[in-house]
Amino acid sequence: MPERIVIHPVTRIEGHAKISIYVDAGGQVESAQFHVTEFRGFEKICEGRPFHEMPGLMSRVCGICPVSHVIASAKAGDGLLGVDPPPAAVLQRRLLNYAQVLQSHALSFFHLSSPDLLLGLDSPPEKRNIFGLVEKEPDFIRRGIRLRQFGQRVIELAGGKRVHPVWGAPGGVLEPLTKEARDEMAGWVKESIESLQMALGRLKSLLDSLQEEIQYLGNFPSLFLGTVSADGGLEYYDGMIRIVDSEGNVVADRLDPQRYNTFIEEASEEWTFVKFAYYKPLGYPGGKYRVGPLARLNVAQHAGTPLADRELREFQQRSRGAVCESFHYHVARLIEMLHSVERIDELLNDPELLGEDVRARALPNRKEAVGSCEAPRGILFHHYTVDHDGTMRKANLLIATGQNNQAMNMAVEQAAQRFVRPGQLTEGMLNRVEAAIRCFDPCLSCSTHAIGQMPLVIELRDRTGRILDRIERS
Amino acid sequence: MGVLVVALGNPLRGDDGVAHEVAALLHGFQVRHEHQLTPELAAEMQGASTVVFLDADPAADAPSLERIEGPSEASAALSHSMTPATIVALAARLYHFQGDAWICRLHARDFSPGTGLSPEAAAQIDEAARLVQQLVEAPCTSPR
Repeated sequence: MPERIVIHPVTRIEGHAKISIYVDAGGQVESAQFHVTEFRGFEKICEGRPFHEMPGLMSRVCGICPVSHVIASAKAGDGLLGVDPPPAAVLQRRLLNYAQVLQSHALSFFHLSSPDLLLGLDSPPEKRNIFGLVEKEPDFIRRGIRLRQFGQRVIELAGGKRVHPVWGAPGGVLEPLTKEARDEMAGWVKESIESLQMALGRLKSLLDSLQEEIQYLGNFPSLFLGTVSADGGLEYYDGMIRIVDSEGNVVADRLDPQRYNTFIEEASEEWTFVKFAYYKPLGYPGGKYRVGPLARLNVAQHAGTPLADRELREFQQRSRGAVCESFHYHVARLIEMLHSVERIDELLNDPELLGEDVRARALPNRKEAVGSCEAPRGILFHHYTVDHDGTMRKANLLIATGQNNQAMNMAVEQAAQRFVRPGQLTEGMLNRVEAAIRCFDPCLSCSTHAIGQMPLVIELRDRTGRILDRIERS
Repeated sequence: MGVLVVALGNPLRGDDGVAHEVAALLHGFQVRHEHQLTPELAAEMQGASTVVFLDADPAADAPSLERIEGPSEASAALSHSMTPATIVALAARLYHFQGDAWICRLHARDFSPGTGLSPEAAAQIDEAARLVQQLVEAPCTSPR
């Protein structure tokens, strides 16, 4: 009899979701779906508010990547004003975005995914957590905590607080950075680079033992989309969009983020609150693409910093085309952290960073603008429309997790088909399905604007919807 | 570092922000304002003699102090649901934290979106601050 297995809640991700696994009459996994089950509707809250309030409001979208939302929002505000922010403001925005990539990736890799990687996907679930790591790898987890502390501290010193900083504004940022703050930040750099080199070495040493997971936790062809600098390098704040296919061929290049809606479209499905973004010329679902660390390293020709460049060259040699194994999001995340610390070091040594002029002021000069940047999980767009006095008429937020939604569903299905044996369900099987999701580090509170933690349920159902088996974690 | 006070909660969710109001009345020691507990806080507890968590609790009728006893790993799997006890355990194991740890539970009933406290939550602030101040000025004794 056909059956359905439901994993609810999915654990160790940011937000609420469940997974349904459909089993055919022959007892084989037929398909799987990743459902996001909560909705917040942040865009609606924006309507009727003054546009200059948006960075502060958008800082509340997410507790993990608020800085990226502030930056995208402030950049949309720059566009509405028709101004270029002063150099010190741009440098400060760049600095905080790198700090956020660092702290968000540290949370994903060290706190959420390392228990699987270092303790084993089949290790007892009661040990497969940060305390299990404390027992087995105390130095490793201490370094992870310090790396996240560094990122959070940079955000706190410049933005006033670690979570939901209200610091960016249309035309720039609110305050100059002090010399004392810069000097304190600089004190973290050397240790952070050492920790990341250690972590990269540790992860790479595990890859041989994880070949089955690498092959089946979301390994498939897709497009990859990310921002690149004018010379094709890794870029997070400002640049043009490049799309490559799984063979590594450039499908589209120098796409203007301001015109994102001419090449990206979103589809909806009734079983989830997250939309499905796709590359318009190839239609839905054929135009599926991935964003975030793996995509950024697939579209960039170079990193532009010495240590990350060395790692990027090695990373890109993992495939003759693009690296298609979603498992390698983990490796890409560590390379991006290394690159972020190198860039933070460069920025801290730029004398313009401490400039006093941090905000360009004007009345609204345009009625529509798009702000974009690379958030930890992938490219982020804020698209605002205002009336003549700057009152928000419409906001559209296109979030990384929504852009990865098709790929996450494919990853879940592939992992379920490979690892789930419906007649003999084990926790380790289900953990692999969850691990496929964790590769993407989805931030569901961003993408659906849902509050809270990520519970996970797996239900086994027949085609009439009758629940045959259910496992729930909270 | 001597005493660390950690005020927990979201001030934009009504009474959930009551801990921050209590913390504003405290003086003479370091205060951290947090929306949620994450592992970094364990590192910041290193070297503290006393740590007091202030948190809104719909089950609390009045401000009360309770010692956090022994390690707890119950909710360690989810980064979003780390408890004060979990953080204390993490600090003890990773950073050799050996100080006293307390939680001060604060009455809370209205978690609606928005700033401001319910009259009941606001009424306890002075008493809660007095309790905590008294505790940390004599950290080795039981709460009065």
